[in-house]
Amino acid sequence: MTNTNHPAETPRVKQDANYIFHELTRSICPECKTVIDAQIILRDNRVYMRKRCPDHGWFEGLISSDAKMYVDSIGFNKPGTIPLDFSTEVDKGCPLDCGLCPEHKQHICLGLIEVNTNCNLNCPVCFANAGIGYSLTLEQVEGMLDRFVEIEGDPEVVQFSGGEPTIHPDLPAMIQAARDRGIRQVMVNTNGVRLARDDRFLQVMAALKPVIYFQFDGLRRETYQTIRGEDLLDIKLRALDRLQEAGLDAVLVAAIEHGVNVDEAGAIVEFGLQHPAVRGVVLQPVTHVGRHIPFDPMKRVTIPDVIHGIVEQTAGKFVLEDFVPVPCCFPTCQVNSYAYVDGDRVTPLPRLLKVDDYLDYITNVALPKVPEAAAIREALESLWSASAVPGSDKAAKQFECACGTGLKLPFGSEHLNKHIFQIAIKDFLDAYTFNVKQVMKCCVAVLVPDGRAIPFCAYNSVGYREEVREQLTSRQRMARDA
Amino acid sequence: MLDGPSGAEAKACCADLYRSGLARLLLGDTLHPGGLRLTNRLGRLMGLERDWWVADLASGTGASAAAISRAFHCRVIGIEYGREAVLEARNTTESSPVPSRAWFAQGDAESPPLRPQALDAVLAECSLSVFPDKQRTIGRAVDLLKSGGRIGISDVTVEPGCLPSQLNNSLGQMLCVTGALGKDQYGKLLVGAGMVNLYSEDASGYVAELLNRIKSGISTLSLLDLAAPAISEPSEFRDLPAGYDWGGLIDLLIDLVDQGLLGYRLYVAEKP
Repeated sequence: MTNTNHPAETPRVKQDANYIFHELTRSICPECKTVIDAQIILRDNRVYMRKRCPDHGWFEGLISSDAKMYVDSIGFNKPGTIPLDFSTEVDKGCPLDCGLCPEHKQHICLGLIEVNTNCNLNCPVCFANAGIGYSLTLEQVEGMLDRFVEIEGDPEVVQFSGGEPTIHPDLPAMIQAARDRGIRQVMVNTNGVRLARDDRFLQVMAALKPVIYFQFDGLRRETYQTIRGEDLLDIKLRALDRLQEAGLDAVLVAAIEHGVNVDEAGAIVEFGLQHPAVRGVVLQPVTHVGRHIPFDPMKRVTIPDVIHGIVEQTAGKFVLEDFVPVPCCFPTCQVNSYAYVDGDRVTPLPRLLKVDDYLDYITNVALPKVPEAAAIREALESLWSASAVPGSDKAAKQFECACGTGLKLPFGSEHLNKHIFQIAIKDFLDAYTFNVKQVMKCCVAVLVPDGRAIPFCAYNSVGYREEVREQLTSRQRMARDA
Repeated sequence: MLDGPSGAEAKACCADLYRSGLARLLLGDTLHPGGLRLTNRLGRLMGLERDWWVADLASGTGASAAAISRAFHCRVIGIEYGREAVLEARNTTESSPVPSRAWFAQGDAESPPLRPQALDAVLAECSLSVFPDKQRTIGRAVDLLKSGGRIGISDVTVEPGCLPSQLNNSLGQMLCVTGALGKDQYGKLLVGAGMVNLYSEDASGYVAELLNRIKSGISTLSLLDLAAPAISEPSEFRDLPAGYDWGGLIDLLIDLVDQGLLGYRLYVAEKP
């Protein structure tokens, strides 16, 4: 039957979608934080999250700029370890029961304690939205550490953060309190301003020897102007030199933002390789929570952008295959690499043995047939973990063990500590990329005075940060007024 | 009880051994399995409370005593046989940026220089196994306690008759296996001394961890050919032949742990 009156006839041919539907998960609405379904789709070798809030409509955001890398990483997923205790019950469903709830799929590799909300800087980019709020007491922190020991048994790493933890008068006692409970690694996450200026404080840190998790966004002054609101380069360099004099180890931590410092990823790695105080770098695409500069969710920096940046900007020192997903968390969250550094010679660990053979649990069901295979896998699991701390004895021993029969390193761990360099790239979630699947296996948790341990990305994106801050701030105000 | 050397010699030898560079290199700063993690666990099981008076028998260089005093806000007196260790413990505590309420005295844990019935708790970490007269040591410890006071012991367990003959030497001593008791015997000693509410907990996983650490330490040492300055102190293992197969010995020990014949346990009991 034909209808000659129809104005513009279109052929009745089915069209293919311009994307591959990869999976369905759950996320939150970037406007109202309501939990909603979300599709993960692959388009033009990129990965996007697409979702709809009944009240605020459709949202789409870039998850990964390399679909192949994203899909290939899924195999690097190791069975989780169940914590000894949980602090909440399953009620409303993930991510609204955090604390951890009994449905959480992993224990805590790294516990974060935000000791205050105040800061000695006022950066335009700050996921913690530092400013007026609360300051924890030593007693509160001791209680949190005790609870951490209860739920973990053997906690690996505690990181003190803020705000700016170095301006908290009880920070030294808090570091000592973690050590007194046998927590092996203690880190202090800092902008470095006080380390650059305060001799006595530096001396105290030198005696306590925490690993300094040192914000370092690049080597260009403009980078600091944009991300930190002022030119901090000289202060940063001064602080690092002073750390070296004091015998403290540092890990450079860079916030990487589109159009600001993606082109500095290589320079940050190169600088770290050369600076005697630096044991590793952590490159973190900016998380668009708290305070951030205006951004386009379709043009975010993702893990592959940073890997490509390092490969292209380090003159052949690293190749794409040197970066391997971390299996303890959800493998799309973080990639690591390690290198043995001797002067100008940089040998990435994945060149010495095929890390994939040990850490791709799904593709390689059986371990390689070498005598030490189980020990090598265990060592690699320790290195490719959120609890790996560069510069620690443990990391050095694991590096040595991972090298297995392939390489006999004729030195003690002291030597290795100074010659092993870690590169970690961590992509934290924001409201556009929030994926319940990743949060359920998150192994980085914010410890809260009421005993809860809340997965870091849920803490930042779902509203826990605001709830905890409000509660602690008003309680402190009431205590002061009483 | 130890064969061979007299009690006093054994104690002095032990005190020296633990201060040695090699022991530290192999064992780390806290010279017992589990380090401060298990010290903290023991303190928690003992129910240590703020302002309690606690004695730490064979306190070594004082790391546990200081940690306990801060973590539980109590007052700790460390008793240590070796004079050098006492001085070092005092020095470390005084120079620490974070103060503690831990004091150290030289003395014999078998007859500690403390007033009877004055303490709230007594702690003996990996030390009972090296005391020649365990019954007497525990008896004295119980005397020190007030009514309601707690004893906390953590120690190596070796099931009777299971110690390989090649461990009756200074290495065995350093590993606390030569004088160790079976896992039921420590509790029996406590109950025999009149203590009640005995609780004990297995921590043998930490022995396996420690043995693996020693093993990797030894393999590093053999690569270094024992020549590095850090370990060129007088030979601690004077009774071992040159070229001794340490790796093989550690493997043997790991095997004993797997079989449940060698282990580590925590014991807590209360004075009625």
